Amino acid sequence: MKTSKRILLVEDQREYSLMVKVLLCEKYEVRMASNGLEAINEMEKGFIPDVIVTDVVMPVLDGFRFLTVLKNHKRFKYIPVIWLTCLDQSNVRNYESKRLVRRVIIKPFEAEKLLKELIPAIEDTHGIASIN
Amino acid sequence: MIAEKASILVVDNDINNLSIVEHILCPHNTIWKAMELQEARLILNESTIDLILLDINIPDRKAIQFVEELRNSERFSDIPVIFLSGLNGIDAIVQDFNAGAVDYITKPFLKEELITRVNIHLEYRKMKATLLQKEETIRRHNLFKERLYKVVAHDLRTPFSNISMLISLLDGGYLKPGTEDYKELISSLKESTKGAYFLIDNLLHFTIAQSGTIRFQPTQIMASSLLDEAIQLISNQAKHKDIAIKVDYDRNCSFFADLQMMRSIIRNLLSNAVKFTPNFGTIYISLKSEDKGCLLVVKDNGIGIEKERLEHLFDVVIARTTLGTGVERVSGLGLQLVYDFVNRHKGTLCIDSIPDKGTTFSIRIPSDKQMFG
Repeated sequence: MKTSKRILLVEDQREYSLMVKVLLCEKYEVRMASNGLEAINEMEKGFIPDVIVTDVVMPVLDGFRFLTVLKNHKRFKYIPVIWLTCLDQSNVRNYESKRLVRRVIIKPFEAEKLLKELIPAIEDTHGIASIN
Repeated sequence: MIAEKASILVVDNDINNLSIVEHILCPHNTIWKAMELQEARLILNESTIDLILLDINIPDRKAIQFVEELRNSERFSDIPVIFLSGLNGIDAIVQDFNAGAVDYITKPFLKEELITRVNIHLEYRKMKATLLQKEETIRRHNLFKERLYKVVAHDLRTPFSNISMLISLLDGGYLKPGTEDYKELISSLKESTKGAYFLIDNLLHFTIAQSGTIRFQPTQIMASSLLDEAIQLISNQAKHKDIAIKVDYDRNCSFFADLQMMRSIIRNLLSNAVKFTPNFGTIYISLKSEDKGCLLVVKDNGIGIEKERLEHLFDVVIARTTLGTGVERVSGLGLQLVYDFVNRHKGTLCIDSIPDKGTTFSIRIPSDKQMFG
């Protein structure tokens, strides 16, 4: 059987990050980073995820700038990105409609709700990474 | 009726009229005389005028233009102008009222009439200024409260939403007790719950302090035991960020202070120090006796406060929310309380800060009843 998907979870708020990890780690291989810069370091060190699930408002390198870095990166630009954010704003949603990110999910604070939204979003990215 | 001498500018191209008006008004007011509008402009620019008496019969409707000019200027628009006019000019005056005069007096006038009218308008102007000042104060308070609600709501939202998430994780059986994740989450949420409680506590203190009903009951308090208690409360937060806390106490130091307020002062200072100090930083706390009381110093090597911000730190509207080093949001509420409570103790609060080097808070609190006066 193929190994499970690798998820890079980028979130500065440690508690939330841990809880999302707890929910995902049964199904996926999850690595955590606390901002965009740490995420890039993880990837440079060899953890190439199938999907990046990232917060938007973060210190050091926020979700917007992190995305720009990814899109300009030779190897990382095709990795699908899911935004998991509190920012329920049209300019954030626009990133989804313009297909700059695969999905924008407004942070749920209930396990079931998070699973219901996040798992299909992760599964949806299957195979697309290479075509993109 | 009017306590201070008011400055009145009289503009009239008849020198006799100027002298008469000056003679009537000068015992209670400072009189500036101008025969030409150009002269009047000079006087306006160089001194603070409270009221203008303007002869409307200055040729070519120049007087009217002059008033319009005043109304359109930012600096002089609220100076009341009273027209002086000969009897034959009444019709014109009524028409020209729109130019922005507040009143008119026809020549020849009674001494008492001039004095009364001038005084009414001076008084009215004063009342208006007071009212505007009060309105400004209310506006600033409202702005502050608005900002406060926003920050408090935000700061409470995070721990509450995390608690909600944690409960659903436990309830759904996703998080197994005893695992490393479980231990970390529980200990970390314990901290943030404590933080939320502290914020609510601060808010409550602040509300009571603002309403003026706060109880101030100073007693003799051992300073070191209060500090120990406060350090205990922030020790976990500090540990999370690997911040070292170094203390240097004179154990005999005591405050003559209100226990609740002093507790709030110390907790807020320490909590801010932890928030603004980066990982692996150090916080120094020292306590020593001085002639004028007890000196408490809380020094950190954190991110510091910019000079601009420092100057307005206690200005409720300008002071903005900043982020701590670990993205903790700081409402500024704690510092407001510290400032307010230190003042109630007739103590002093000194802040030295260099951006990126750190901040030192020095607080002097009377150490016995005598010093308190």
